[in-house]
Amino acid sequence: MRISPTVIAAIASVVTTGHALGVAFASAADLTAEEIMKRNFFVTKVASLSAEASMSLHSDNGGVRKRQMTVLSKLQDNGVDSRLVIRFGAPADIRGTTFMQVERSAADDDLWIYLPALKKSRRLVANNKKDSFVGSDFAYGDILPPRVEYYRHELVRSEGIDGHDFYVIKSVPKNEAVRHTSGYASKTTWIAKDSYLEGKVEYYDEGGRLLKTQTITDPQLVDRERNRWLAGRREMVNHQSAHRTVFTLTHIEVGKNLPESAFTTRAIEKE
Amino acid sequence: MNGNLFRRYAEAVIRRRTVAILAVLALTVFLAAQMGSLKIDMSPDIWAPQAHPYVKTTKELEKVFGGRNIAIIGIVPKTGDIYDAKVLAKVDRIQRGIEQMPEAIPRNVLSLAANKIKDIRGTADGMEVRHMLDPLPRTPEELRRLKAAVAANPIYINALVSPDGKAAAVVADFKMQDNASYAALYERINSIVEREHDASVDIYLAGLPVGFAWFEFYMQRMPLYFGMALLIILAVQYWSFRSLQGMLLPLFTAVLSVVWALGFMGLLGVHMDGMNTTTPILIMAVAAGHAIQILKRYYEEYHRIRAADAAGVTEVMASRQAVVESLVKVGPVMLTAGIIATITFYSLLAAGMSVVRNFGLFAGTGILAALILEMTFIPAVRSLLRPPAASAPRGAAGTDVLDRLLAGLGNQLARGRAPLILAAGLALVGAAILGLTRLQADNSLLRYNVPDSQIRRDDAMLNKQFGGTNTIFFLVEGVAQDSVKDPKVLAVIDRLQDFLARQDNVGKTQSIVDLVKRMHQAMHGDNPRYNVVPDSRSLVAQYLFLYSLSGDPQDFDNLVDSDYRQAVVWVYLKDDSTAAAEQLYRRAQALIARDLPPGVSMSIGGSLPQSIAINDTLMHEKYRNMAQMAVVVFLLASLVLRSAIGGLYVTMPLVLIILANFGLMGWVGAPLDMGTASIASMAIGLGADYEIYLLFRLREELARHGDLVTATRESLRTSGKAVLFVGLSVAGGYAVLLTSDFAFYSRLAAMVIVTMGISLLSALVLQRALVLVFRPRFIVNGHTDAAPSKVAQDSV
Repeated sequence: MRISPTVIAAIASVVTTGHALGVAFASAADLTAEEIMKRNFFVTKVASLSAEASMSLHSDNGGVRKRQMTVLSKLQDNGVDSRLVIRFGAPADIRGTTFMQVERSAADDDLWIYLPALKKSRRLVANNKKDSFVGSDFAYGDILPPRVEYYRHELVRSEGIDGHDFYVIKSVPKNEAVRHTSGYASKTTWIAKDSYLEGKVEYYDEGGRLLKTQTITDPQLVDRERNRWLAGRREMVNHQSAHRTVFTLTHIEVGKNLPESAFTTRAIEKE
Repeated sequence: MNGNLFRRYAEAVIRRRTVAILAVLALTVFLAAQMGSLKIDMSPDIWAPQAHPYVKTTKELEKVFGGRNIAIIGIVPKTGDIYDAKVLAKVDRIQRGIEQMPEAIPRNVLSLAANKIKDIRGTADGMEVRHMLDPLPRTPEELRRLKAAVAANPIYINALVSPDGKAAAVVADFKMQDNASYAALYERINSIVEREHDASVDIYLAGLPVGFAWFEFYMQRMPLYFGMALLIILAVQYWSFRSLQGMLLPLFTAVLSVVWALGFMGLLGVHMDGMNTTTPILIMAVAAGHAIQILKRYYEEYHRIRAADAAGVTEVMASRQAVVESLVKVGPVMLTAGIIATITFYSLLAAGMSVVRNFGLFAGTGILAALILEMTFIPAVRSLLRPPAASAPRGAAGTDVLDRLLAGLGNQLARGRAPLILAAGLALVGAAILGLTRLQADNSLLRYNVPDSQIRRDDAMLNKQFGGTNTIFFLVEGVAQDSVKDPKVLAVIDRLQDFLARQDNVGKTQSIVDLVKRMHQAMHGDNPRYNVVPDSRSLVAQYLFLYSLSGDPQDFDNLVDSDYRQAVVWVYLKDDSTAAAEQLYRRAQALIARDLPPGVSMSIGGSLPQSIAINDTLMHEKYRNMAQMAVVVFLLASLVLRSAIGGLYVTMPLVLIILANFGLMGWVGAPLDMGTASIASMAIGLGADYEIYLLFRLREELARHGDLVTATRESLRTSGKAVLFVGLSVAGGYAVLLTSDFAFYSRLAAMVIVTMGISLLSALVLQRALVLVFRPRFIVNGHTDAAPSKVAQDSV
């Protein structure tokens, strides 16, 4: 039960800008697989974000569940951790249900839930960081990928898809702990040569079988100066359960000055 | 039945025998090639009457929730309890191993190690949700905490952990592709499980896939039984003819009939199934039976011809003439009897269960094949073979024990004991029929196995430890989206679970209500007062939403459908008695029907209700099939005997035989199952054969001797002996199944043998007595021995 920066992230989050800039100016021709992955890691990091998101869950027997939400996220004072609020607008019977997550890199995140029918916010404690993201086919790690240096990256080839050029990079966890935490034995990422935003990711389970494929479409340049991109649509297909999730972002606003008071239990209890 | 037509036909076959033999061989090669496409079909669907409401619910459930093929794997440490790092690691590895099987439905693979199995607990300011086994507890403190977590989440007790903590379960659901092999599935489950099996733990397997897998294992032994049955039939044949030719010729018909029928099934794309695996033995025995009738007549005619005119007739000519004569005399009778049997079996094509339809098709085709072979291949080959030696059996002659038996019977009947014999026989049959009231249908996969089989021992063990190895699903269904978020509906489900939990044979129930109540309590600091269904619809919706956010998208998929229109209650039962399950449903329905809000309905499905449906249909259709087959036999027999009374003479005994057979099953406590139910068709198909051979021979002998008593004695000595050999072949063929440690087969074999005994008794004794007592016009008409009022009758 954990909401992460994710959505957001997906959306974007924050990061040390200097670092990102440094990477951005390197010459593309000399880039190693690891450097490409680093650029990709930073390309979605933004200082603050507000957006409307919709998520549809498609089950193998044709059932569909749809959710609408408003997402707010902001970098904390330490410049590393972010805060996140997700308020669900639909379906009607969960309207107003709100999550708040305060990321703590040094400890367990704080997670709060507000259920309008209970009229009170409650603290949630959850112990598993590789869970699915808000009940979707995305795992937290899919949306907020683990640090680049935890993996060994290999540039497998370049590939043109629909007129765009992609680097195809295979990443394997450097140790057992990373592997177990992510639940993947490896992943293969298609990274656009122009934006460094990924176009497709394949995830292989610990048995080496293809588990999921994420397809990223509708890329949007949200910060030209820092080369920050967000994906308007992400689709994740779980090949083993035949379940899939489509996640879309609209009304994206980046760099808006969100008040600190928006990220308090009192704020999420306000409907 | 035109004698001249048969004569011309028989002569033509002998003239063109090479063509006949080659044509048959070509057809045999073609059909044998089709056998390659025969597949074993273990799908429970073929047993299930598709129109039955329970079956419909089962299919609906399967589409939305799965739950069709649930296996239970029990891990029981030999000492201590499951709160041990090594044991938990085993559970975890089995969980992962099963989840990765291509047939597994991962969201329905449940154990403490499953991702969706969580410890939900209230805290002072909120709620805590943790995976049970991730990370795997190792220290005594962690193990103690796990134990407390299980205790705090009773939904898992009795399902995934035994109440005393001495056993852990992995409950796994599988999706079977068309014609997938349960035996292969079982082997794969077993290979995962066996890796964890060592001196420290016992591991048990139960559930429907395991039951079907064992069924398949036993089915795979069928070729062995088939071979043994062949040997027994050969022995009976040798006893009957005392010659190699006599032994082998009927065998050709028998084996080729089976090959043709199997090839024909392959050609039509009909699959082999559990019930049909024994049918080759039936076909083989029936085909050999017809072959015996005709071959016995051949020997009889051959010796008659040789005796009548030894002068100008060479042995070869005599042999060919005997071939023609035997076809002329027995051919029409064989065709009549065989076609009646074929049509009777084919009439099963109207049955509701595909196993029954397949059985009818297979048996009917096999008999048809035997007729064709006996009318073409066999006379052609026979005419090519060396004529019998002088010492060869004289057909009806001989002084062995059977002859003495039949002669003795003939004498008893001749001495006017017929009324007494008839009365005694009918009394016996009547006593047997009384047992009908005790007959029960039971298609328990489990009880298809003998009590000390591994599957039954495992099942008993798991039933002792957990809620039960048998599952029923109660499907609660509304018309609109979100129907099951209605607190009224949840309250009814809650009450249903309450009621079920109080029943003796119910070990566990699970539903979405358990989770809602758990959440409600946890969100209120674990206050037990809140272990109830909340009365606010939006609160229910928000709890469900909150829960769904905590896990994978399919965490709920085994409990509710994606738009919350349907909810399913899992009910684990201790035994697989269909009667108890049915009663449970009736009582539950009566209890909650009035409380269900408008538009919300309840039904049941799952493997056990499906068995109920099979039993219902079996009992119900059985009588319909029997009536239908009896009418077919009656019409056809009336037609060929040109007498409705004749039709009754053939049909009535069959009905009595079947009733006596079922009655005896009632007395000895043998259940009506898929196998034993097929015996009725067998009795009708074969019993009609016996009677028609005997009646035709009786008429022939009556024409020859003009005296009913002598004719009866002669027909017994000739056709009666052949009938006896047919009965012995069938009984002997099936007797090999008595050695099977699969109760489904041994039960079937025992009942076939009993039925053959009753059929023989009826054909050789009771019906002969009946004819002697009542002297029916269709037999005695036109003979001096006829009833005194013959003139009056003739004028009618």
